[in-house]
Amino acid sequence: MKGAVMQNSENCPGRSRPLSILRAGGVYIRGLDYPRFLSHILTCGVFLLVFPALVPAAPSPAAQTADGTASLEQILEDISDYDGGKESEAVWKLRAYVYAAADDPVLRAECEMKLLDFLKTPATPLAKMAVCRHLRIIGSDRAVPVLQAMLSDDALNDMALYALQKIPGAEADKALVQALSAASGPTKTALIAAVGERESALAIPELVSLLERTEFAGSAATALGSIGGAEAERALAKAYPAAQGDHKSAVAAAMLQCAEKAMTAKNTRAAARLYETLSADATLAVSLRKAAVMGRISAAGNRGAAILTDYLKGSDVEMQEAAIAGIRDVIEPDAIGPLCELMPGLPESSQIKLLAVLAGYPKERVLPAIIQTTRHNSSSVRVAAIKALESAGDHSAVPLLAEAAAKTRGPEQTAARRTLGALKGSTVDEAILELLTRNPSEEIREELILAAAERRTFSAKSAIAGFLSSASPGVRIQALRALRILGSPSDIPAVLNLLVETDSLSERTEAEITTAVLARKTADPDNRSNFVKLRLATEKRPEVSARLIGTLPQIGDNSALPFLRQALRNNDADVVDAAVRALSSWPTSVAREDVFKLAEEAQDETHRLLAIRGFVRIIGLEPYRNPEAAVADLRQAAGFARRPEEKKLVLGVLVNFPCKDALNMAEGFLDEPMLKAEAQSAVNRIKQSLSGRPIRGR
Amino acid sequence: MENKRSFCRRDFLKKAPLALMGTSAFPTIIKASALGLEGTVPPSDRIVMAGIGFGMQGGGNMRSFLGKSEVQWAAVCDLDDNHLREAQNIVNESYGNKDCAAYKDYRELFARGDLDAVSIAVPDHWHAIMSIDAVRAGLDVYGEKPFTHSLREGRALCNAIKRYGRVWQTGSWQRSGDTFHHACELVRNGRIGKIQRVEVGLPSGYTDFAGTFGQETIRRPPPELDYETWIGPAPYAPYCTARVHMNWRWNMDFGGGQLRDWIGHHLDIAHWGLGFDYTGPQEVWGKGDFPAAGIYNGATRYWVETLYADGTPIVVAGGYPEIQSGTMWIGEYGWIWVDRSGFESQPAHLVKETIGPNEIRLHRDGDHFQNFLDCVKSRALTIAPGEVAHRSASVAHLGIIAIETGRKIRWDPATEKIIGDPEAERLLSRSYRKPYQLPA
Repeated sequence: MKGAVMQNSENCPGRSRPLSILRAGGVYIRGLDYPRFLSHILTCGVFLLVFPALVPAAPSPAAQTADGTASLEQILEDISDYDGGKESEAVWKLRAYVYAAADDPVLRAECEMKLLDFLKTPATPLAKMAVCRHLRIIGSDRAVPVLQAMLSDDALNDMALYALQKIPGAEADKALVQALSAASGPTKTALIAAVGERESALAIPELVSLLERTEFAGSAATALGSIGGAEAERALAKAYPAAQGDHKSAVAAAMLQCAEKAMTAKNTRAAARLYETLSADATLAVSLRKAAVMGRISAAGNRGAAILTDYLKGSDVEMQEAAIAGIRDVIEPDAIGPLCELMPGLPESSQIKLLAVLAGYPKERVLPAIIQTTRHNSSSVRVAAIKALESAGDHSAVPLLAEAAAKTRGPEQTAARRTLGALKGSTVDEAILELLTRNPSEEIREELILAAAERRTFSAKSAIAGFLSSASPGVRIQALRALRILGSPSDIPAVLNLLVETDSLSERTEAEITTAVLARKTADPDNRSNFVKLRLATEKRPEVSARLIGTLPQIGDNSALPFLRQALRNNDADVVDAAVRALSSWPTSVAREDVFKLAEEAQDETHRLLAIRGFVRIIGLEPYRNPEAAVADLRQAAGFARRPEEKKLVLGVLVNFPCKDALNMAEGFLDEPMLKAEAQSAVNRIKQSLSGRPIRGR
Repeated sequence: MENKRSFCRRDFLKKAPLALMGTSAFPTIIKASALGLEGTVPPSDRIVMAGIGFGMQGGGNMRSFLGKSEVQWAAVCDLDDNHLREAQNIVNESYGNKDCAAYKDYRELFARGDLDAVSIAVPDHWHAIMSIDAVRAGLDVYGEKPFTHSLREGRALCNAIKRYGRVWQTGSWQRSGDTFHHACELVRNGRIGKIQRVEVGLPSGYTDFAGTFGQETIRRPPPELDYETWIGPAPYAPYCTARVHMNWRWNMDFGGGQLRDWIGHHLDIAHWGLGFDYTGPQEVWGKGDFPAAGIYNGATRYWVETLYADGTPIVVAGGYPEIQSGTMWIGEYGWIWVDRSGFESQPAHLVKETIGPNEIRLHRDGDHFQNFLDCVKSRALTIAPGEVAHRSASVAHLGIIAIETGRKIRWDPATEKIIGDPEAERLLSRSYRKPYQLPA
């Protein structure tokens, strides 16, 4: 059975009744309250997708319940020696049986009784646990006495509690409290946890009495915290002064929980009492006292702001942190001003935290304080202030952010750039453009260009295009980069001017990329290289022509291929070299024959290698080709190759065309020592593909 | 850090734990960087961290933190001596000393008093108890997903994080990835119009991470593993090799199958794009396939349909080829799909569209670990805070309950109560084995 899957009702009815359940004693569809859901599914076009899975619903559990009694007995017999290991088939059968019976009141009751009877047998504890898992769901008041009896057995009480804790109602509450009062040791602790999780008010007196017993006091306090209410609050507050160590922390945590419940119940006075007790205790663990301070601030109503301010003015940075965390809860937008004034007097760590909070307040209230803080001595504080400007800043922050971006490095520069790019509002765009055209330093201008591009400030495009002729290489490069986002094909001539005139390799590379990006914005793919072709047609200088040719493969306009073919016949070596390189790196398969011819005929060894590599790459661009035809081409490429490096490239592409020819070809390389590993890998992968087995992804 | 609890390193050495393993009492070689030289962060500004759980994800998380100049990794904790020693060696080799302390009991680790934050990557059934203990001890937490093992635990942990004012970052790191972020911003800004349906594709079956499949014979736990504590609050199950390291996630007592294991990634992204970070579905229906035998009982194939208050349906499925891995939002004007392996849209140009500063901008932080550290300092919300992780995990919890009961679950995301189904309500939590209790 191992490895088999239960997916229909024959094995596991409960699994496959998504919308309807066929019932014993006649067939009816459960879930007639699904019209909205079904309508929704239909609207979304899912129904046809899901429907096949829904229609062949489970055969009726009635068929199973007809002989269900015998079946359950057999299942329970099979399960009785279960050890928790692999022989778990009966566990699954039990699960299937219970799910099938659970929706029929009669079957369910019968099932519950049999499960309860089973708990009285000498079956293994793990078998009984398997049964308790189901009683957890279908157990009723009938199950309570049986489970309660098990609570006194140390070997069985975990599983009994597993079920009993989840059975709702007063009977279970009563049983748990009775068991709690009689239990000892870890079982008592587990029962304390159980009544706490059930929020059982019935258990309060017993829990209160346990606050005085050291070994259970912490657990009892935690349970009382979960239950909450006036009685629990009083008991905890009474126990708190005498509590020590871990017990004290547990009582304090429970008081915090009670206070939260009181706040939810709008009983702020009760909450405030608890918070005040805890926050006033300097001996309480810092984390708990901070929680109490936060609670105290939020429970104090109109006095919250004053309490918070007192903590902020104090010297305890931990309590300052708690106060800062409470600002959002109690300080109205109009009232944030006085807290801003406290900023300079706070330690750096508190300033950083306060800045993060101020970022959420109206900019007209907090902006001056944040801007002031951007001039702080500490880099960490400055970074926090710059980050706060992202939501609290406006156009007035542009100059300082541009300066920070230009003059700093690391986190401060990153923060300044990010904030400059993210500040909201068209007035920010206007401020950037205005500053850009004023006459800032080169470094600041670079940052402003960067920001304009990041912000998609299209109104800045003309100004930025003008910077292509700037005297500053840094400004020119930023302008080239920005035009990729803001520019259009009409900017290509200006970019080409820069491309042909620059002496800088990096600038040339940037110009090539920008040319290609702008060209690709042309709607008609066959016209994308028009500006370059136009320039090539009139260009007399070979070295300039070579540069222009270098842009063509990145543009990838196939209508430029005749220019390249013509360039191969040029008298100038640089032009020929550029044409070979362009063809060898051509991005589409249209150039396949050209590159093949180059690989076959090139006299220059470098050109021959470039062409072979290009040819192999282009073959790889067409995975949909007839595999035998592609393999034939690869065989030719391998024939041109003299070095193992190129043959390895061939093997790398060969696996993408699995066929008998490919396998033969790969096996042919197994004898070459330099290629043996790659050839073997290719053979394995081709064989795997041919066998139809999926290849494991990386 | 400046506001660290008043506890100096000498105090720490005096309080060195009994369980300290293989550590010397005095620091040996201290690298210059640890002294704040080389222009790095001075010790007073360091975030002192420790890690718990190194069987799988914890090691990678720790290495990422070790690469941050502001982090001082002080200790490691694991119930398996082998994992513990390996993790300790990584830290010591990284710092060139032997100062990293090692613990088997996380409570002793928390009692050190000098920690600012802890990275937790333990089996799911331990998440809630350990994490609540951590935040109560005043620690910020980098915690692995799923947030918790049950819905009630999730609410309790969210409450505790808020109560103690701690910073929480969930290991839902896709939020810090550029393509996921961009996809969500495109959806949020209406590039494909009103969302008609969302499809979330997760893995199916079980993955043999530990290479222990089939090793289900009951035997004595190995001496290096404190198995009793490993089982912890979960129902007792005798030791077998296939049950523990890494593959525990396929058993519902310890993990949640692929559904709960992955919900904190692709469904989390779906929520982010939709603006559903702080809510949940109103209706959940599901079906699943299960193995017929063996110790694993998570669904191997599953289909969960949810419906949100605004009428948006989200399908979460594993093992259904029609639902592609990753997150796909289908809107009035097209679709956007994102996964770790790709980012596509219809119309195709959408993926290249940019979001301007005047549009809705989502939290952006390219480094998930750095975001956590930044927030430890600023106390701001991380990119994947606890409440958000809880809402993602809730969909798996509810889906599992729907599959378990075979019924559609009606859910009130505001009160977090199941409506009109007391039996399903029982599955929102489970009792712990003695003597475990969810702390406050």
